[in-house]
Amino acid sequence: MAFYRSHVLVCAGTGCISSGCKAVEEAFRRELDNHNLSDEVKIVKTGCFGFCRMGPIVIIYPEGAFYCQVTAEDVSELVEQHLIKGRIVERLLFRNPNEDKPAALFGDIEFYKKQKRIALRNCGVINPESIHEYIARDGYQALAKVLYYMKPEEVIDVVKKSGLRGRGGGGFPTGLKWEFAARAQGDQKYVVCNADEGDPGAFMDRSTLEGDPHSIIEAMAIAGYAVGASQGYVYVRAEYPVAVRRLRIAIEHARRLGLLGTNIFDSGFDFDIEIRLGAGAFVCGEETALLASIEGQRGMPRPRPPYPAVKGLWGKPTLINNVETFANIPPIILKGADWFASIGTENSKGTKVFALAGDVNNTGLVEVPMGTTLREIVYDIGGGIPDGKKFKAAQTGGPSGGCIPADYLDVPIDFESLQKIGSMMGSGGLIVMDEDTCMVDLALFFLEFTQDESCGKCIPCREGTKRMLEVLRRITQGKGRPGDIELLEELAEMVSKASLCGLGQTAPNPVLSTLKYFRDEYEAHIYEKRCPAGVCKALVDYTIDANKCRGCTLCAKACPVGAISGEVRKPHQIDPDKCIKCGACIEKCPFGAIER
Amino acid sequence: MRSIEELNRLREQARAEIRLRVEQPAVRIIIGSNTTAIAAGAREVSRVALEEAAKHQLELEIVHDSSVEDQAQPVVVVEKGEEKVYYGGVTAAAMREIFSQHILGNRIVSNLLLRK
Repeated sequence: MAFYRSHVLVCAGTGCISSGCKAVEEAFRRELDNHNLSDEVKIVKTGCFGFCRMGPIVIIYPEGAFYCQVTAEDVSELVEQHLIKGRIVERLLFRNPNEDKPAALFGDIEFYKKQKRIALRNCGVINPESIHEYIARDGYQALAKVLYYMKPEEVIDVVKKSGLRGRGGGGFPTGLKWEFAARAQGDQKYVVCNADEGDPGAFMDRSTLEGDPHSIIEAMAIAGYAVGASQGYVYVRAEYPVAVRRLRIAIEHARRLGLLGTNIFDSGFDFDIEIRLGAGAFVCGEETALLASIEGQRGMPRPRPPYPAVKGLWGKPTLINNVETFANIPPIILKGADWFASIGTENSKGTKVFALAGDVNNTGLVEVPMGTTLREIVYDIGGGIPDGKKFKAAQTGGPSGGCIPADYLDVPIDFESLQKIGSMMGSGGLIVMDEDTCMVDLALFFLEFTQDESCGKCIPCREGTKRMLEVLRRITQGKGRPGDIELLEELAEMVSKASLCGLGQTAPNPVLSTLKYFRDEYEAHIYEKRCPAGVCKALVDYTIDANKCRGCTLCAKACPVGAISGEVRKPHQIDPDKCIKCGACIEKCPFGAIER
Repeated sequence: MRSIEELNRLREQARAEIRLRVEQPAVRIIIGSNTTAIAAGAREVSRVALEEAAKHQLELEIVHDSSVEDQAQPVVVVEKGEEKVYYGGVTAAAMREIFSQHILGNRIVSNLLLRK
């Protein structure tokens, strides 16, 4: 076996691919070659480290130096200084805000300090295209354990006792779901992995498939043994080409080693997995629509019951779990239910992965124990709000969830607490909003999304969301009427009560929760024709204060439509008919003379 | 895959591949690597250390460090637990000797010793 003195880990998650990690990797190969280091130093392409804002990320072991925003031009310095001379290249290390010294190591970075990685345990540690590296991290030990030493009922019992709940949104107890599928009668049963991640901004499932695909394969095989299924399907969207490719490679490797196929571990248990590509419809994340799509039909939900555990794919009992749920299974089997149940809160055990996005310094993927407060996530891990602005609210659960205002920053986050304050866990999207966000505009954004994604099968969702959208649009355009708020509330209740599936039932949530906490903003839009955050263009007018304007002409130069006129050194004016309210002038004005 | 033993064997092999990333090894060899050291042959010494480590399948870490100051470059520091032994003027042949005597045999090579 080849022996290397150093490993250069280059993140190859989708985030880092788009910030240029491929060029960095190629530069490393070239430079190592030039310096005759190719047999001393190994380059490892890994999955996502989670700290996407700082990408492309490179970690060099054995020191564990964490380099961020590395470009191909930086590579020769890294090779000559770090790899040859053993000098850490300080200018590329991560700096915690408000600290002079750079944080050299992984563990010194605030972003990682409060995280606990169970589902993401191998992401950024191993090469996802190497089954050996997964096996080195105790991969397939859990599958061996259940096939050798446990009865199917015992496996289900461990999952039940662990307290694991579905990570895809609903939070249904996983062990119970397994039990239903195990009890159902059928000559053929199926295990399905729901990787149809659709919440805007959420990418934990993609990162898990990209960074640790074998953990999903192993967990699905364990589930197959527990419920008595021999065939598995991963339903993943075609928009995730890297995830699909790595999953394909992983399935192929697992088959070659006999970890998928017939008579695994000589136990008589057969299991295999196929991939089904989705076309990216949000509704296909709903389990019955997903099953229809796998069967080759149009992705539309059907009424439940019968639940898929009883009557699923091709009418056979089918167990469906989300990617993150599956990722938790192997550690639970290996370390035991008590270990998992010791993490988290009373009714929400373990950890949750959040995709941190929006107005926050450190965007990326974070995994924290259930019960962590929003404040810890936004301020300690997320590094706070950029430009010293104030926190206004955070949206959890994506378009099905709701907003959490600043008053609830210290609520420990779990399934129950989020529901209590009118939001939901969802799949873990967490969008942070600063004081410049208009909450009516936010509700409009999410409703546009759900309205667009409504499959059209049931009327409450198809028509109801459309009508709600019309009302919201006119409010943001300054044409809101008295009674619109009440109309929205009435429609919301009808849509959520009468819709067929989760998409429609939860679609009004963003409207309801913004109404609950920011009703005054709706009222300002409707009655005062004013957008307090200055976002809704129809309700904003830009004017120049003649007393403050020095006639420097910067605003006139910045204006893309030539709406600003005036002589040099004399106050300027904005022509409201030409102005498109883009705000470019405000950013340029050095005297604060432009008001909106 | 027909047995758990087969999986465990594979795991042991594979662990060696990623050990560098996840574990602190018992032995560390630090190779002085400033410009003087490199001019005096530090890279050759480093390569020999790597060869020897591979030959004996040893769990150890080889790091370059330009902050090791001494007149007698290349300096090699052998770190076993708390103990740190400094050798000076190390050649490729001397590195092999340090390996067989000190790292494998636990005997300090006194004619190369700078300090402990």
